Amino acid sequence: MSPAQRRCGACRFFTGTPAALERAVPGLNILSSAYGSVRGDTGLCERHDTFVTGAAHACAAFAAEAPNRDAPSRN
Amino acid sequence: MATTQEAWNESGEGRQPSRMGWKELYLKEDWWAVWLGLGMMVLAILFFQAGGSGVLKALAINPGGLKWSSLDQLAAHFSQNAHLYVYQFLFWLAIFGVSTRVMGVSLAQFIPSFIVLYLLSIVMFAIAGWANAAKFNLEAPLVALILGLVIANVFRLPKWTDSAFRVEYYIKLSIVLLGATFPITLVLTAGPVAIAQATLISLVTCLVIFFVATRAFGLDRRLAAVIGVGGAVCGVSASMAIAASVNAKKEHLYTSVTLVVVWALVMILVLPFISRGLGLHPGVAGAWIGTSEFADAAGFAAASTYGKMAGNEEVAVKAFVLMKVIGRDLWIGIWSIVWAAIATIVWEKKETGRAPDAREIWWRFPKFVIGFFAASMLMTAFTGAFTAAEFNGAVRPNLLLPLASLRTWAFIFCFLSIGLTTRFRDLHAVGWKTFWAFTIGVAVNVLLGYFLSVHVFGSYWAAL
Repeated sequence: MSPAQRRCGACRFFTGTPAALERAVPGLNILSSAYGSVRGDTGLCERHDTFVTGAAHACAAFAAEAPNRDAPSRN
Repeated sequence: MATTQEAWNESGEGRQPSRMGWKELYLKEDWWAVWLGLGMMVLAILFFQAGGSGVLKALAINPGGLKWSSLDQLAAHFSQNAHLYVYQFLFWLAIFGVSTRVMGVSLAQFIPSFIVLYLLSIVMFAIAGWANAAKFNLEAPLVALILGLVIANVFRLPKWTDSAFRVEYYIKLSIVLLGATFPITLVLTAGPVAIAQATLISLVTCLVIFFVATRAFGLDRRLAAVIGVGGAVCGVSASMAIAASVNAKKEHLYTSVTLVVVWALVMILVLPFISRGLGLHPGVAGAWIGTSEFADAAGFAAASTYGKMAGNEEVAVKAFVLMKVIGRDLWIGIWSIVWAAIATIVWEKKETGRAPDAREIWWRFPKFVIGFFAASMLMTAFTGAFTAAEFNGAVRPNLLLPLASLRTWAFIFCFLSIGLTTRFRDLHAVGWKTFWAFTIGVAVNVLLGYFLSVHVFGSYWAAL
């Protein structure tokens, strides 16, 4: 797998769909929206509980396979 | 065409972590606002030229201008125009239903939710159309907000109802439609002043929040950055945009949501009345609200409310748009790059995972603004061919006013949605230090915005 394919956007721990993001952060849709351009491809890394850019960030904990039982569940 | 989920997966959550590219044209609500807004405008112009503006007027019907004084009058209006309201409902349902479905929202959830939203909107218009509404400060944005808040927090609406309560989508469409009545010459002449004033205030506010949070209270600098741009640029959207730049934690954004929502609601309710107490010109108040409010939707509600109070909503809203959308929102990509640079160059590298990328200016550009500029240029070019008499006698009543009414519908959908999505029980608990860091920034923002809008550029905004 190339480094580009190991970016956060391809990781099992990445929450990047708008609906899932709005579920992950209650109230996000009150005066904002995960469907907007401003968000770009920002998503939530559920492994580290931090926001990352899907196509730009990468880390050693990349997981292409399904997360193990101890990993945080995805929305 | 790939399904929506596949498209989203390709762009982010799935196997190919590439940028969204052209798919953004149908997966982001900014672009849908552009397509719908410009589409309505072009159709309106075609109807107008073909002498069929009756269709447009029928679609734009609302009881807001009725000035009814008895319920019989109101009932008669609905009885006579019931078929038009059915057409109008189907029109809105079709365009919003299809577009949100393409973006991935469940139609089965959207339809019942939108029916509720539409019916409540009719109630809002009916209240606004009461002859004594102004006497009791029953301005549509305020009433919509309060009614929505009561419903959401007393009746505990299920989360799925949010499918049709798309605050940002409706406000973006409203702003594109606003471009139709916004001469491009005004954008070009007033824009630079708005940018200068907004930039100064945004910088000061962001720095105040950041340094108070980190130096005075010792808070996490990522949290300080996230709430700093939230208070200085465009609320939660800005916080989300830079959250990835500084690798903010989920709770940092959640905290920003709470602070922005609470203060934005307070300012919607307070700023119009302070403006009235101070006797501000609607243009001056619009500029002040544009520098003070964090979110577009909240600011629109406040500017529209005061504009109605002062009898000139159009000027208040225009000044607000110049200050907030052109002065602040456009530059979010730059803020994102700057924070990414600070995080990677100044802070410890291990805290961040990527270098700043200049292309973010475009990636994060609020694309609906393109629709606003396009609408402004298109309508300015079209109406430029008419004499003043033709403009006032035909163009304004048969083209611009129906478009303005459609815009008002989108506004009301938005204002109701703010209240309907605000469930106070869902908001995150915020520590006192964080609260005060943000609140001090808000105070600086409001006071500096007042000084610049009233005392430095007051004559300019009053002449808008």
